[in-house]
Amino acid sequence: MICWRERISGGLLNSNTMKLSQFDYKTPTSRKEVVDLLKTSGQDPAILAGGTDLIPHMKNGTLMPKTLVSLNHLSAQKEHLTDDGSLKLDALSKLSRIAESPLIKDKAPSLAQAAFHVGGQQIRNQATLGGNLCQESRCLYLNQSHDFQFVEACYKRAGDICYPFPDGGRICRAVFMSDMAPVLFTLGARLVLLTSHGERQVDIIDFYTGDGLKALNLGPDELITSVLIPKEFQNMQCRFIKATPRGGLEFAMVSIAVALTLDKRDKKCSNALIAVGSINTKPLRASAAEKQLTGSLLNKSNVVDVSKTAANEIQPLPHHGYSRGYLKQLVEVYIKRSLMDIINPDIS
Amino acid sequence: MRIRVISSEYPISTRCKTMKQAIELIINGETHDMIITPNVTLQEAIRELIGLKGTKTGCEMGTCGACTVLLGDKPILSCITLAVECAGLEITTIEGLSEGPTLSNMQKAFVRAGAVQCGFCTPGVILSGTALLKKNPQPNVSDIKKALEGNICRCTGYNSIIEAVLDAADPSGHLEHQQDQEGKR
Repeated sequence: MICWRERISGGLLNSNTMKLSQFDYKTPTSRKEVVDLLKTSGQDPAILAGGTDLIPHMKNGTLMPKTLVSLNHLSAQKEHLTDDGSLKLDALSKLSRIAESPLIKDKAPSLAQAAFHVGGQQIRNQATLGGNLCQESRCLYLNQSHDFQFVEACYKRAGDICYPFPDGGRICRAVFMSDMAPVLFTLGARLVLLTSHGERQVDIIDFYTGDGLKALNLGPDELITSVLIPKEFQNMQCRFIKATPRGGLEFAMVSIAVALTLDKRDKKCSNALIAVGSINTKPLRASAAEKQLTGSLLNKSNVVDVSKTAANEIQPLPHHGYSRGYLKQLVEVYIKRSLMDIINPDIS
Repeated sequence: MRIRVISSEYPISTRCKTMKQAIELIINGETHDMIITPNVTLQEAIRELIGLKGTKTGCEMGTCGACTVLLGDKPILSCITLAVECAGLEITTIEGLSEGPTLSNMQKAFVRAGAVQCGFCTPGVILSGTALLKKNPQPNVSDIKKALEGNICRCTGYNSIIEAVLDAADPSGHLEHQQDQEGKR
């Protein structure tokens, strides 16, 4: 056993676990160059944009890229409307910028709300939209410093065991905790990816695989360059609510994004989209609840029914100590709150 | 003013075989020439190479806010920023706020309100508060809470911290408010 004096003088506190290990650092000056570098640098390269997710993982030892491709020398394009009316956001936009942009607040207010509730002020000043969409998934047994990690590595760290689900097969069930992804689910977003042989677009719903071991549908030489929000999804009645164990600087227990198209006169709902994040290996759509809401009036009794339906169909993974039942309850209550807020914005 | 920092004796760089880079780090208006490897974080550069110990080492994981510095006008976490990424950019640490022995307004307000307990979070909180007042000179309590959410005070002395930021924003108004409250008592 090590006594504390030893630990402080020469032991764990002076150990180098919190220092970054060595890596090659590349600074491309154009996006094309980034993609070429990703293709040519063989030893698992990682893209460094804001670094708020990558660098803690590198310090923990959960990710050990040999090459870092920094996007520091690229500048983010300002958010704007394209010729066909879609809202184009640069993937390198800082979250603080998204939270404060008047154009985004006008066209997609829930996106600005979600960006405003990510991390703390400092994190928002560093983190980028693309980085938030590509963040590592989280599990109590994975995102720990080296000293606290279990001796035997789990599936995600190329090991042979899963601590929270020992009998669940060789699947990683780490939870994907992005706040921006569920909002973009409800705004019908399309991601523009740059590959070494041109551009391709992918619907954000198809971007997440649901497999914790390879969570993103993103090739090794691909880069998200921008996010498009089509015209028909702008100016919807949309809300974002995040349930957290404390006020700020915390990952969500559950995050809820809703977007409705309402008839102005009789509050009839012609289109409804509900997405739930931080609850499974990818954000989930509540399709039965959406179907129930579409074509019906938005009133209190309907809202109660819809949130019950959503809680029944959403399958949460118990994560970070929260039980399945508690998470289902959170989904119900928070969907109810967000829909009630659309009915009566002044009360809440 | 130019200051030369020679980093070859620094253990991190000797351990590392990757290419060293010559960069200029502008801390509090002084340009420091450095030769460092890319795996040195901004916090390590500020504390261990330059020797400004006001920037604290807390969690080193970007969760506590003790290492906050200002990049331009914006607070960032120096423990999860690489020093090479900040080459040529204006960085302000807590040492850069005061002018010699004269404290900045925010620092004076912290002294007046007694918003320091163990003092470990204080440099970060003062920098976050300074950035807030630059952006929003008349914040209310909820603005302050939102702006300081990235700084954790383990002594839980948040009330006096919020009071201090209010005081710095509007020294006269807040004092009147305080006197009113004392009158009521």
